[in-house]
Amino acid sequence: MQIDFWTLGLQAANFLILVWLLHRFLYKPVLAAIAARQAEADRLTADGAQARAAVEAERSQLEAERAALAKSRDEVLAQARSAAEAERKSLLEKAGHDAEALTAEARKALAREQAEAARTVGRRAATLGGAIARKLLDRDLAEAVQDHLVDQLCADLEALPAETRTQIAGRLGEPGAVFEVASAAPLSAARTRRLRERLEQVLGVPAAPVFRVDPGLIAGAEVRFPFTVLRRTWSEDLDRIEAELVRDDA
Amino acid sequence: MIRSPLSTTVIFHLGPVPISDTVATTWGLMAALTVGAALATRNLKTRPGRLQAALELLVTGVQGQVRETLRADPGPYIAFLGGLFVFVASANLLSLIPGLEPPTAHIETDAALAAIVFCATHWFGVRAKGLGPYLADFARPTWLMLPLNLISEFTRAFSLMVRLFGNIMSGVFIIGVVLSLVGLFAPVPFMALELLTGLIQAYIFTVLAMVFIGGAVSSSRSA
Repeated sequence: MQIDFWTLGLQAANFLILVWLLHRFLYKPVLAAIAARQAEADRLTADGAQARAAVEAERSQLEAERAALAKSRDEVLAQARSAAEAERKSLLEKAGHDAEALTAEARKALAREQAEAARTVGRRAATLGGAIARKLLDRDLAEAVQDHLVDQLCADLEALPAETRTQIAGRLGEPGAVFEVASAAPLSAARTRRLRERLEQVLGVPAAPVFRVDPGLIAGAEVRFPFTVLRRTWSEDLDRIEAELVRDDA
Repeated sequence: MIRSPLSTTVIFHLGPVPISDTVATTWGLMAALTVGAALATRNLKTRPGRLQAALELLVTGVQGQVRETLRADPGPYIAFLGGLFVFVASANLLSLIPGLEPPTAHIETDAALAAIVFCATHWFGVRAKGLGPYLADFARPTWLMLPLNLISEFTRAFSLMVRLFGNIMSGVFIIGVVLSLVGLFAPVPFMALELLTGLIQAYIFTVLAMVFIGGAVSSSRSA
């Protein structure tokens, strides 16, 4: 066995040269390519991170805007609710007032209707009362009070003012002047004579009235002058009472 | 006829220097590797093709192995250790080409590689620690370990040489014997085995070199 030291030395040199050559043509370019790819990857990662940060910022901005929109929406809804509540209260209050007004108006109308009905009923009651009284006052009772009523009529004549009596007397002389004495029942001759005397005494002129019978007067008599009528009859009394009843109901 | 694996054949002289077939084969291998690397890396792209991906896999594999073994930045060591692996592996695989003998089947090549690993180990150690601290590491943990440490430096380089030489030479020898005795296609299984053996031996040689360098550049002499 022998070792060729020339070969050993040349192989050592060959290996060292090969190391340099491989470093120059293999490892260096490949490592550079890997480093370039890594740099590209880092750049892409950085770009991605930057883009992600931008997207994140945009997302945050959108979140903030959405929150602001939600807040604004809530505020608008709250305002709408409060406005609707105020409107509802206003409408309710107005409706209450309207209802109260309608109720008051209805009550007033009802009161008016009730009052009108009461008046109508009162008038009917008065009319009915007068009719009932006219039917109840029988002829005998009228005869009984006839003389008394005629006496009262004479007293009324005497109670007329002098000026009125003068005017009546003056008008009686005019042609066509009305001068009548109506009674519910025929007057007796004595009462006719006495009534004529009282008329002449009160008026101071000759009196020749026309005597008439009017059953509608029920009882009593009335003297019809040219411009006035002097009454003392139950019919007139019933009419007055009925008129007073109706007036009191009103 | 089978030639002795321990002998070299001088095919020509370059001046006073005899050029053996081993050296010529190595030159051819160097040329092929250099031209192939130059062609393969002349148009590297960000999106790699299959060849570029294979090259990057090789480089990053060596990087990862160096990083895991040395626990340090693989930058200063990638050229040496990567070149060592590529050279030993490609030289071992030359046994698959008929008519060519692997340079690593000759002891001069293995001795040269072992000597370079020996020198590189100490050069990286001195560069990492400085001359004094590096030499002081030989006397640790006690001065009694100094002779043993010195002897181990030489014996492990020697074992490195012998291991590679024995495995590759024996493979080539067996293929030659089988080929001469049986026939043309009989050594194919042995060649496949030699393919595996060549790659494994290249890996073992490179990893052991890494371990030696790692022991030299680390704080304690653990290797």
